Amino acid sequence: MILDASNFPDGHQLSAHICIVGAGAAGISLALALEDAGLDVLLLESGGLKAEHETQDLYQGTVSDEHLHSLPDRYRQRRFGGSTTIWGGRCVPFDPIDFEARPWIPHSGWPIAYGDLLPYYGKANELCEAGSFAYTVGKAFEAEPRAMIVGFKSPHFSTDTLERFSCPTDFGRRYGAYLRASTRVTVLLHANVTALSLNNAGSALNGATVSTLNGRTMTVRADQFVLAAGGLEVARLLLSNRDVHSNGIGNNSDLVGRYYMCHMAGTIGAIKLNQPNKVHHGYDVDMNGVYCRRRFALSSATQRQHRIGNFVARLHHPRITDPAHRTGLLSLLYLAKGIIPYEYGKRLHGEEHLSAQAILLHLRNVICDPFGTALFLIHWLRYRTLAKRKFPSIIIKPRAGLYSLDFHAEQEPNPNSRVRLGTLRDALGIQQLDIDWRYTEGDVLTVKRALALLSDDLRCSEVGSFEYDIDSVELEMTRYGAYGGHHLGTARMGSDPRNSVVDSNCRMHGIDNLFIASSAVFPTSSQANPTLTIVALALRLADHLKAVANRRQYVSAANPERAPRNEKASPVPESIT
Amino acid sequence: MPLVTHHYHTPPSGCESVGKVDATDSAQLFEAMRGVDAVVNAVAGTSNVIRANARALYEAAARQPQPPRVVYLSSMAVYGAASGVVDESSSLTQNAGGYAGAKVEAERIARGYPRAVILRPGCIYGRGSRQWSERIARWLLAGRIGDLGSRGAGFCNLVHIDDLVAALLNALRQPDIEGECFNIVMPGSLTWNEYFLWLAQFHNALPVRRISEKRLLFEGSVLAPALKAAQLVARLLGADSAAVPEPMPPSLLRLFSQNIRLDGRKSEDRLGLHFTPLMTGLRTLK
Repeated sequence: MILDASNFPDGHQLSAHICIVGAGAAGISLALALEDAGLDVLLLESGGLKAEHETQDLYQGTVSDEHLHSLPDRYRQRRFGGSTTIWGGRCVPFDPIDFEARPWIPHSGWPIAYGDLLPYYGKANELCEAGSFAYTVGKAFEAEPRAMIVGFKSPHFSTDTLERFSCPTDFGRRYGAYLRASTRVTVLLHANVTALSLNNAGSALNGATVSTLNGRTMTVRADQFVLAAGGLEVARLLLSNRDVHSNGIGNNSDLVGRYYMCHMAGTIGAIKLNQPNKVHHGYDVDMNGVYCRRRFALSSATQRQHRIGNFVARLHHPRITDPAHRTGLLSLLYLAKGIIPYEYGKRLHGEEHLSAQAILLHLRNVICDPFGTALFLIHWLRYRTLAKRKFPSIIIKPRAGLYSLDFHAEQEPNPNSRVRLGTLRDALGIQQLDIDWRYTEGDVLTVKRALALLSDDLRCSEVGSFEYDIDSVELEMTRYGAYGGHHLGTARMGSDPRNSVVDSNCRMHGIDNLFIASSAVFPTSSQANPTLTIVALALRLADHLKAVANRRQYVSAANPERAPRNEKASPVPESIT
Repeated sequence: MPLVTHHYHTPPSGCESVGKVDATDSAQLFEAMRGVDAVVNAVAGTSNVIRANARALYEAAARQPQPPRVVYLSSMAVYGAASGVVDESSSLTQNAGGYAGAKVEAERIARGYPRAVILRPGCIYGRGSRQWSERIARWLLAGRIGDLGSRGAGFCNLVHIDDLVAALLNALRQPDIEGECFNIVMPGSLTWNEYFLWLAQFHNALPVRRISEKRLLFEGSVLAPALKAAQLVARLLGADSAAVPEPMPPSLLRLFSQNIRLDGRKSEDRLGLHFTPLMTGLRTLK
């Protein structure tokens, strides 16, 4: 059922077997996976069913350099469904090498292997509505679709791996009805966790304090707690609670908030292909109707050989802001930047302010390319605006036959890249976050070497050329700052409490009943977008929590009188319909 | 074992037609079942017919010198809007009207007859299944159905037609099952979305389309009554009503999202059923 904490009386007490904090991709996946386990699950969500300014403002904070990282209330949504409500939908699993300890990547290595997560990727793909777990051309299609570039051969890159696209699925809308009908999962909206109470020894969580913006406070008791509030908010919650552990929960080794990663991404150079008609840089549709796209994926062997991180790249339209592309639609996108959401517009048009002359040139492009623009808009309206499964992105065959390269690279873990508590407080009295995101020379090296290899391979294959300014690589990979929406590593997973926050089961070192379901636990970032792996990890955690529950024998079948949900005799609000 | 068939169907080999019978007339049924060892009651019709048939049939059966075993083909509809795992001991829908209410009432009457065996099949697919194979295939090919998202996330509780036949035969032969009822459903947790995808594969209707909730709402609320009316008009005019696209009634759309999973383990244990895997079952459609 779905209830609203704002309607509960002050001082109300709630209890459950498992309390999950945060109803985004991780929290909802976890709740769904626990639904049939015979456990009472309480899913606390700060927001409501829709976006609310007052709640979203609780995400406000500061950044050390706004050019390098967006403000903390951007790219995140504090509402039922979390940031999946604005998700782009790209699904990509991590590669096996991402889990390995790589001597050339400092602090790399997961305590689990790709094989440990593989059993959960299929179900994660299903929850993300990205079709079957088939991420190579051979597995996804019966008849092989068009080659990305006919004749392209590379010892370093594969063009046979795919990225698949979710609808994109808003987890709140998609699974809300199911959770509403559930008899075991209670979703509590407008429930902000403002305190986590440890026992005196600091070895277990006794409860959590929930506050609402209308001034109610209540307490939650649970056998297990799971923080699923996202890579930034998990760190904030842990650091904010300092009554027992003076540095914050799980922060004895000063690791919480450190190793903060996003991804290194940018658009660079000019790719001129000899046979433009033998290029396919758009989407293919698999039998599920799911959009899939090939990309250049750097092989594991090359990463080892060149001692660099993971890297993928796609053929991309020229930079929109430069009217020299002479493409009406791209100019239209620049001119219409005011109506494009910030999270998408930033990488389309940046925040560049053009001269009046450049704007006139954009207008000229639109006027001179009316058919191309109109055809695109019709396609966009039909397959994006009106479609339930949305065409994922703008794909344009460049008029001048010139592409740029859009890359997405691993950022290596760096203890000096961190989030910490700032001096300002939010409306509930919790310290806001201050983000100091940093990249390393190693990150620049990964992109530089990968670009050089790709340039060589295109030339050696005699399919075309890739020209770019080597000296501008660092500028381009940071032009738009850290890749928005990917908040990783702030409570990293590892086997040693001296250099990690949670263990291989996502349980906080030294605290029996506190778990994290979030990209916060990623020790390394891969080239892959994080959502699919967040969901897979949440499903794996669900299995672990079920096993713990069975060991403790508190499933309802064995102990049906366990844990009435509303302990205090007070009127319980009606379910939200 | 003699079987009774309705007169206007060609009886399958091994079956004998006994002529036209009014299934709601106790006297005619009494004559039709004279001397038979068992009756399979698979009468379809309006809810009134279902109720009247039940009353007439068990009365006729009880009056036989040697009352026969009656295997009654009920339906999963008796569980109504239930959700979760549902076995034979689960409560039946209360105060339901229409088809579900009639089936519940028929079951109640059947339970008053000591030699009745009740089968509650799920959605019967396979060769000749107009409702759950042929009709859905047509909708898939027309792009009216596909990936329904949360609206197709309900469990589809399929049973292959051959398995239902096996269940009927075993229900006729198996000792010590009178007075019992059985869910007849393939094990597993296949959703409607998954079934549509597999069916689309077999009918070259790929890729499946993602159908929005608004589109489904339009199908159920606007298109369905309009198409139903068009069918009626076509019939009145003597035209071919089959030419009118089939309506997608709201009740069916509700079923696609109903989170009900029938537990068929009792039929495996007591009737000795071995269910056909989906892929094997779908191949029979070719």
